[in-house]
Amino acid sequence: MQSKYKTPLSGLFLLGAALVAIIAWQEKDIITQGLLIVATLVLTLLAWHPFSRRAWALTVPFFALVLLVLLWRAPMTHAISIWLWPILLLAPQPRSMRYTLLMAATLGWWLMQGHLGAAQTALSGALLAALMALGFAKAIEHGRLRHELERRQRLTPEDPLWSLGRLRQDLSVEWARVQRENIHAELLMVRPYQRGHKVRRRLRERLIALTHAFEGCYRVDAKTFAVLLISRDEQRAAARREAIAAELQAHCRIRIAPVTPNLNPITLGNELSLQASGLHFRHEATDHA
Amino acid sequence: MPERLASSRLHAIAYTCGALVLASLATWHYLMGHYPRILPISLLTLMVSIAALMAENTDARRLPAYLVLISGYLAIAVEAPYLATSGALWMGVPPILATLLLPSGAALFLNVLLAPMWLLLINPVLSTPAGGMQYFMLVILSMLPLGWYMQQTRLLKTTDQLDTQSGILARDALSERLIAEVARARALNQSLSVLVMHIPQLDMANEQFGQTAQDTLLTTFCQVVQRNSRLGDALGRHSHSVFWLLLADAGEAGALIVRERVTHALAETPLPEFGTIKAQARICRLADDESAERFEQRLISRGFNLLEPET
Repeated sequence: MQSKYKTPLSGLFLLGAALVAIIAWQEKDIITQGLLIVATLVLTLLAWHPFSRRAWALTVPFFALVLLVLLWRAPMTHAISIWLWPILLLAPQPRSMRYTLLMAATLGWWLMQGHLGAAQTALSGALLAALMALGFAKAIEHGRLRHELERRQRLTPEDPLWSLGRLRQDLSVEWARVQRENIHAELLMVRPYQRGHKVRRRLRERLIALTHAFEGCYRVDAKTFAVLLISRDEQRAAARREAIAAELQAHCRIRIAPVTPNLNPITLGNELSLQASGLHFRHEATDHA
Repeated sequence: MPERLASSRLHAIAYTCGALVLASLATWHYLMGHYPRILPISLLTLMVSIAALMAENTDARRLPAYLVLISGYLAIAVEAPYLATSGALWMGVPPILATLLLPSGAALFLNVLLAPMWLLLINPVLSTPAGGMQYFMLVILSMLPLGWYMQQTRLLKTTDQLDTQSGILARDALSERLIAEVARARALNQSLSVLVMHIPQLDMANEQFGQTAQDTLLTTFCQVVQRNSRLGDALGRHSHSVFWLLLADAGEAGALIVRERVTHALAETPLPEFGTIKAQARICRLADDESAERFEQRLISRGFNLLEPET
């Protein structure tokens, strides 16, 4: 999605993957070696999708498992990896996963305790607890950042693509302007037939190219986009609607509704996903004039 | 904010825990009879305890973090020569500490910079050459989640539309909005007027009355203007004390009415330090054959005119 910002992070992931691969190559134990090879693959895959929340949600439990196996098979060789537990807390994940990680860290520490002296076991346990607390503190700070990100109105720096929250605001603004300026505004929703990231990106670019600077493009949910079309009068609106529909109809399902005060983009999106035909125009009794 | 409180409490807990670790280490040395090794560890315990006390009380959260980081580094460095086979375990602490306590970029820099030092310190007790490799793996892997958030922070910054101080459109977003409104006025055959406003009090407010008074002035001004303009009229901050109010579908007469209403409402709003807000406002109307860039230039120069003191 944000290809401009991806490159340095991908490089870091590939470097990590390479280091894990070298460690896997030096490893004697067959189970550990197998897991480390899988870990290399996971890191390489993550390098291509560093911003996918789903990829992270799968990666965190997997790495917790790898750490546990490492500490179980050869606690002293891989002793250093016990400090990776607080780092795992920082990755994006649901709250329950963080508590699971806390338990897994305790188990990992327990696996090591037989091989260290009593003194070092106690010290490392207390230190690990302190670091886990720091990890939680940092995760809370990150949670705040995530909250802000979800509330942001503009989704990407390069294209004028806006969020659902912004669409709701703009709908009420456009309704006020429709009444004031005697113009015609309608909401066009599109949903591509095909799945996939590339299809959606192409559709997004197409939509932005088809609309004017003053007509917003919005992302309603992962698969649905919306455009606010603004025209001088009914005839021009019809011509514009048809032109855009003709352009997009081959690849997408389309639903159009005039802007009214109680128009809900979510409901319209649900109707769009259920509609049988490729194009549907909802006629509203426009007797507000 | 409860979250911030929880975060600082967690820091305090973590630092206390760290102080306990160091204190028990000092006690251990005493019991074992390693008397020369007690003093440095006790000093470090004191440092971390001070950090723990500071963590919850003050807003300055950097200082305790630095104290803990330095103490952690020194503790490992002092103890490293005596560690036996478990040296590889303790070598992992410094990079993790840096990652958790410092901003991401600084942490990576410090970890890579200090890597040779740690390896040199630990080398005599390392059993396998794989240790160095493991250290680097730890450093790189620990950066990955932080890298993610670094990019996200950057994304948030580049997509931010609003001025951080006033909460209205910032300069770039305002300029983009102006271009869109000009295109809209052309397409719908409407007129477009812009109210360029200057608040002279804002220039001196910070020096004279302080930051809080300036913020109050700013938010009151924005509220009054937004309350007295129509829904959809975009208000933005073009420079420190110059604001634009974009009035779509408004000719000279409509803009004049808005100007009167806004200046009147501002004059009616009393503020403790400033009396009333005095705004200078000029109206610019989009000419028939004017491009968006020309219009923007005209608005900017009109703003400069307002900034110059009247002679």
